[in-house]
Amino acid sequence: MQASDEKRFTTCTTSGPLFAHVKEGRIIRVEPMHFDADEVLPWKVEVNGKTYTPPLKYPLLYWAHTARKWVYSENRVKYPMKRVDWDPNGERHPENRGKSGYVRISWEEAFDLLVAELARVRQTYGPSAVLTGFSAHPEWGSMHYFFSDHFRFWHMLGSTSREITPISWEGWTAGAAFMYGYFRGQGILPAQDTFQDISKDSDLIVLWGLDPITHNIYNGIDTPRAFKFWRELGKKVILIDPLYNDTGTAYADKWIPIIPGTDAAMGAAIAYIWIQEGAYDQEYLNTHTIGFDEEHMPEGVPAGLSFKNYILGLKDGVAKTPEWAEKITSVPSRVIRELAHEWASKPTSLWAMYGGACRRAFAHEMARMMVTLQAMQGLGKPGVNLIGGILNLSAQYDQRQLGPTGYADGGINAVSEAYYPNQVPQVINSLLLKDAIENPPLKWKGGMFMMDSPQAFVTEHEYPMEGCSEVHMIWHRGSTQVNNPDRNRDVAVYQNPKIETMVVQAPWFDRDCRYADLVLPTTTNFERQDLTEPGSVGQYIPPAWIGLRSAVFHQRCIDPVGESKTDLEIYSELAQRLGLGQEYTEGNTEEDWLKKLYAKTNIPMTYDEFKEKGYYVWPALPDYKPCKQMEEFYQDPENNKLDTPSGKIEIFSQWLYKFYGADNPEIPPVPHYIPEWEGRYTEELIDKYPLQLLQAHPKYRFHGKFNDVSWLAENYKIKGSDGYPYEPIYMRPEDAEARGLVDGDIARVFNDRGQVLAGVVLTERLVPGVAWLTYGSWNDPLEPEPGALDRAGDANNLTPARRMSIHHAGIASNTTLVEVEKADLEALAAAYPDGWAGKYRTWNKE
Amino acid sequence: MKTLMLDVEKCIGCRNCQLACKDEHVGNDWLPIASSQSEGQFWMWIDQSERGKQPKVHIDWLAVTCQQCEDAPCMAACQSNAIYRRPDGIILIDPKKCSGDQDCIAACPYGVIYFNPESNIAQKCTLCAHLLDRGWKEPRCVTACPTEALTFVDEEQVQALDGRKEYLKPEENTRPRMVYLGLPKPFLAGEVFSPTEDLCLEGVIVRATPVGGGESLTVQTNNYGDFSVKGLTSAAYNVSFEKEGYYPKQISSLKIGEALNIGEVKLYKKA
Repeated sequence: MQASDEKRFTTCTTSGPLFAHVKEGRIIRVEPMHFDADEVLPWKVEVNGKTYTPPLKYPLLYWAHTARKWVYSENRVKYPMKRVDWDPNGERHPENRGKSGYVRISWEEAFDLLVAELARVRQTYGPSAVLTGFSAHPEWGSMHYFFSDHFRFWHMLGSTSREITPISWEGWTAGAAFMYGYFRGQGILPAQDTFQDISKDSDLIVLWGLDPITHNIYNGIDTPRAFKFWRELGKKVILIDPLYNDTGTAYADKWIPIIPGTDAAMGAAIAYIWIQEGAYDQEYLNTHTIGFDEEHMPEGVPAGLSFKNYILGLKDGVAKTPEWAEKITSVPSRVIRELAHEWASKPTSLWAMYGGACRRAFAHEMARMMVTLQAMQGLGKPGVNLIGGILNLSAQYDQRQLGPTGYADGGINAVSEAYYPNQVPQVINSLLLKDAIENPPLKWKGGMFMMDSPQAFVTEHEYPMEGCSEVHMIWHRGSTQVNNPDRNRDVAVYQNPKIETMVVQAPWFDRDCRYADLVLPTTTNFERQDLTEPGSVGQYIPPAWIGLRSAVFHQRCIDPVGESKTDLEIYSELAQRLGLGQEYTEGNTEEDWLKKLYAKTNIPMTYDEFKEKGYYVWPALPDYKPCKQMEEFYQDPENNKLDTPSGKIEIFSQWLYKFYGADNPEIPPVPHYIPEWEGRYTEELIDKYPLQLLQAHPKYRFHGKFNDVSWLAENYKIKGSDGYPYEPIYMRPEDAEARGLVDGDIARVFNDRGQVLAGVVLTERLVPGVAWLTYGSWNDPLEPEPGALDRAGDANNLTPARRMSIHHAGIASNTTLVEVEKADLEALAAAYPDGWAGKYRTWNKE
Repeated sequence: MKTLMLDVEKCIGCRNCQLACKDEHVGNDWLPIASSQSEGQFWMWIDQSERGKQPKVHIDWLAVTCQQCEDAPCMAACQSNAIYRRPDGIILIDPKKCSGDQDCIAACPYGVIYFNPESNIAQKCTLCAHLLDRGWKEPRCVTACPTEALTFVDEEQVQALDGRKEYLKPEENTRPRMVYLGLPKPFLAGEVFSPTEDLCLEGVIVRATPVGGGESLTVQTNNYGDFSVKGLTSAAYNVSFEKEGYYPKQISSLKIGEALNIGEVKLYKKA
């Protein structure tokens, strides 16, 4: 099937494993990895005479098909680059970051500069003066991943760590883990065997704020076949969401539109109905939980603090009736009541983990309310489960079959002789970076990358830490560190004179690169070797995969583009020049590391065979015994205690009670609905900024990646009268009409934090008063200073960097109010000639 | 003779077919079958449309490409004999013979032939004939589809579909060969409840009768009181709502258009 001048290679990307076809050294085609039927022995799930088997091909997410566009993008960083007016021996002009252009330098010059700067900063201020961060979703890999090359290098040298919180599932980390433990996955329950559980025993699937078919990153588009199977089995699907999302339009029997930020109120009303009608599992609550009612409270707690008392209004005088919830959520009370009846009458799969509802003010309350609802229906019972939008649905995953696992297991650190914990204990919570740099000293609680214990939330941090320095150098692995809220705060930091040097190593010149003094070109996964298991991120989040389980060798499909190097090569060379080469590599070549990683597996092929073939598909073992999340706990709670003080599901959290007392308005011991600090009911803001901004993920970008891929952009960007491709802002017809806007208009979207331009798209798929503008568009500010109008429409100009609550220093990006008005493009073009011509756009290297 | 078939209900609008088509054909020459597709053109295009009003909204995703017509107007219109049909039924535009006159583009009722300004020729979907000739089982768009909505089927499979099979724009009489299942149809939706009881009304008989007479369509509301009447063939309907123990209701002369959400319908309980 191959033409004689084409060669087929294997690799794995963030959108799934694939075959890359290469001709004369260039990729000419990318197709889903697929197998012949006689190559595989698949698992099967049989229900009511219908059989599900995983497909012989891995359906890819969109962007993989456009690989040629991004691998060969004109926005690749092809050579090391230096900002023209950054002179480490003279004037550094930090104020010109984002303004001045770049010149190509050689790798030799780059390494000389990097080593000199590292040495100078470390000698002058100490290792803690270097702040390091990483892009949370770089190219897929295991050896080539920040847990591997980046952590090893910077932990060995020591650096201050820029701490992002899990972001993808903030509310679950901060809320659910306090109820059932699972701190290792930061509040996410294991995925294993959930596919069988839903298929066999769930009769109702409630999607609460989730769009799994299009945002199942890493696993490709694998859930639609599952939903189709479930529909064929007669399972009903309900979507509760401010946006009628793609999963809903494809598979939901009913869409229940809800005002953003009010999910916990609807949950409370469902609990109220169940309590009123006795439609819940009191026996399970008695034996498996604490805190539901006054009869099951921990000792020494004052009376009246139970969940039931809150719901019935015995404490605050407000019964959480469906009529009460209707006024808050806009969901008719009769619909809440009917949903409650249906939910209680059927084993229900609640899909709520991850999702936008957990990235907003007090999102831990939403997560805890969801866990409580499922606890009331016997979480762990056949068909009663909690599922998430990504990496959370899994079929047979046999632990006897050892694969290369995933990126979070540490890559080379997992097979090295020496492991280096970070020499520097100082950290900065990413939301607080600007405050730390501009106004030290600073103290705060929590807000770490690994919130893997209750204590992590109340651990106090100080900057600068005793014995540590303020930060004077920033180093990012990957551009667009993550998609931090309130981007203008980050820009201010990057232009601060205290930051003497800023380095970014990235495949594409975008966003954060534009503020760096030195930009280093790195490879994409097509240009390097690696070894991974698709859809597995290692022990961080348990394996989740409903395709054929496989291991993939990332063959080097093409030579590195330009002079790009792998991050591992860059760090190895730097270590060498710093006299730490042996400590970093232990004498291992890239191939040596891969062989050692491969040796940890029990794949029945030699390394060379595996490398040559490119993949291995595990056969389904016939004696596999499924065991889904919470199943053992459900069957025998005494001998399968959870990692909570009581060993039970703590609807009343003893940890939270101990940390915050009985009446903390931001985090009471049992879940509450708490109105957001910037939401529909924030009286002091809602008149000025009457629209709630929804930040559902971009469909055709991976966060900020692939924004420049025309084949993707032409599906969603809105061409203005000036020909510029504007980011879409979706609005309801009446919300647009009230502002004199029509479909296709270019509008200015603004609040006190920032302003952007966006193209208006009218839709019926939104709740009134909500506009959907997402993040990740590469910034195109009309002026170089923070706060400038962003022509590219990145919503993170508008989002708050405020911590979601006293309890968690995590992001609340969806808690954002804005106003929208028609933009005068001609006036803007006249007022900002340089900016309009693209001088400050973040992909401009000139 | 094989043909593309789209099961509209299975399509989730991912556009993988559209993207895979570009991956195969933009920047890649597959002579003599085709030369490179121009940027910004779509030999395979997913046409998205939205119908109805919240919360009864329907999103239609329709894969549109060359329909491989039996009576292909493009072939008839071409004055340079550049458009030919292979024995396997695939219609191709010979990139060497095409004069760039664009008569075929004007003749095609589906708008799926594009003029490539760089090579000065007309171009369209080739069903990846260059790959089929190498032994591939299906074109790239089909391989990329995650839901089996788009398939590459034999003539016999098409025949077996009987009345289910549909075609785009049959009124153009070009005898298109691409098969569609479940093309978007008008619907009439709403939600029935009892305001005095604050209750979703299940089992309400909703009967839609064409204005001016004709056969009625009847559905029942589900447990949320939701109903959706499909198979509408007239422009306007009188709709009645009946449930035992409740006063019946009739709404006259509802104009359907592409879709109509009549919203909340209140039925009052008999005393």
